[in-house]
Amino acid sequence: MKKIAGILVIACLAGCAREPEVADLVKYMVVETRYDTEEVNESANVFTDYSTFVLREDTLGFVSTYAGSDTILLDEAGTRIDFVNSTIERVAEHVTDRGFTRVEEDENPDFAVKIVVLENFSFFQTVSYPGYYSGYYGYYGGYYGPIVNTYSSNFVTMVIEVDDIKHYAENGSKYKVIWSAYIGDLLTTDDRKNKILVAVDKAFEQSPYFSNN
Amino acid sequence: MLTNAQEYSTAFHLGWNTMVPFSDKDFTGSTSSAGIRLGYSKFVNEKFGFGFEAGYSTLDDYVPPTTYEYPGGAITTDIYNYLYYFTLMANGQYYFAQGEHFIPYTSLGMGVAFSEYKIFYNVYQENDNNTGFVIRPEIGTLFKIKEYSSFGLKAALGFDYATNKSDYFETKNLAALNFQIGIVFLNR
Repeated sequence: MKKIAGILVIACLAGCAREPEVADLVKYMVVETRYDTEEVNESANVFTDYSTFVLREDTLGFVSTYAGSDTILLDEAGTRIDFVNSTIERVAEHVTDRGFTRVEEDENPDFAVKIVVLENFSFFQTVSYPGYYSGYYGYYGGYYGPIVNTYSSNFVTMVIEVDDIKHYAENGSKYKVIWSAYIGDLLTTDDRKNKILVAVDKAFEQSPYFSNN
Repeated sequence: MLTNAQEYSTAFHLGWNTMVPFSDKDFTGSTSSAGIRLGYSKFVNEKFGFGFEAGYSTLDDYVPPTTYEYPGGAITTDIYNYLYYFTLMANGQYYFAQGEHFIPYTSLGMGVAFSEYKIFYNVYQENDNNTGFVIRPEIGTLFKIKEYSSFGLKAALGFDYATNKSDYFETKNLAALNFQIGIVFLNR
């Protein structure tokens, strides 16, 4: 009888200490957007001061806390990396729909849209995110990922970022980050390509101020 | 939990517990049957006994995808809220009668409650642990299958009020109704 009681206790404890199923957890991606409240607020919106933007054509930056893992992502048929072009196109579509014109880098764009995939950085909990880059805004010269304080994890997050080029001099010769979107987790989510597109749509939907009107 | 002191000296019970939260329904408002109770009782006489009991329950709730705005941004996610609740109590019992099969009782337990408030969203999670004081009035009955059996069943209805709360998740003191059914082993 005591043995049966022991088995029952263990079974009950195991049943009580439950957690959500991973398949349920990753059904929807988390989408967080942030904006610089000095530049976007009730009395001012820097987006109304922009008209042109630049966005890299066909590759995404990949930055990892694992040494030597940084690279550039290209779509590769038959692999898990199949979301590069579709993501870039969807982001460009949204930015254009908000009233901005896509131009080449040598056409003096007002802002840059950067898309970077980050491995092992966590954004949604302990982010400490500086508002500035001190160097090149990291476009064709290579990718300079956002600078974050973080702790180790196995998360893969996509970051879409708007860097102010137009006011570089006024901002103390720095490229100020005006807007950023964080989409995750890319590692565990299935149907990644489509869910990223849904997440990109949501990022713009929850950022109505991202417009030059 | 109890029995006739003339026949039995101690009892051990194991129960399946269902919790109905009365507080913080925004965090975990759903009734949960993911709970267990374990207890031991010593009988003083036919009317009184004392003992201790440990309990473990999980409350949970799901919040569909929602956009939460905050100064400087917004976040859209669905959230799984979980409350893991563990109690360790000393209790005193009063037995109304010693029937052939039924032994109704009331008890009052007091002790310590450990709680972990946890939210899961996608692969991310946040939690807040705390410890508090808990008090539990309870009424119930034992049911002996045979008059002199050492095996019986138990049913009880109780109410937990614990000082546990989470400032991080903005929850108040924990209050919940409990319904327990289980088995009892009686020792002479």
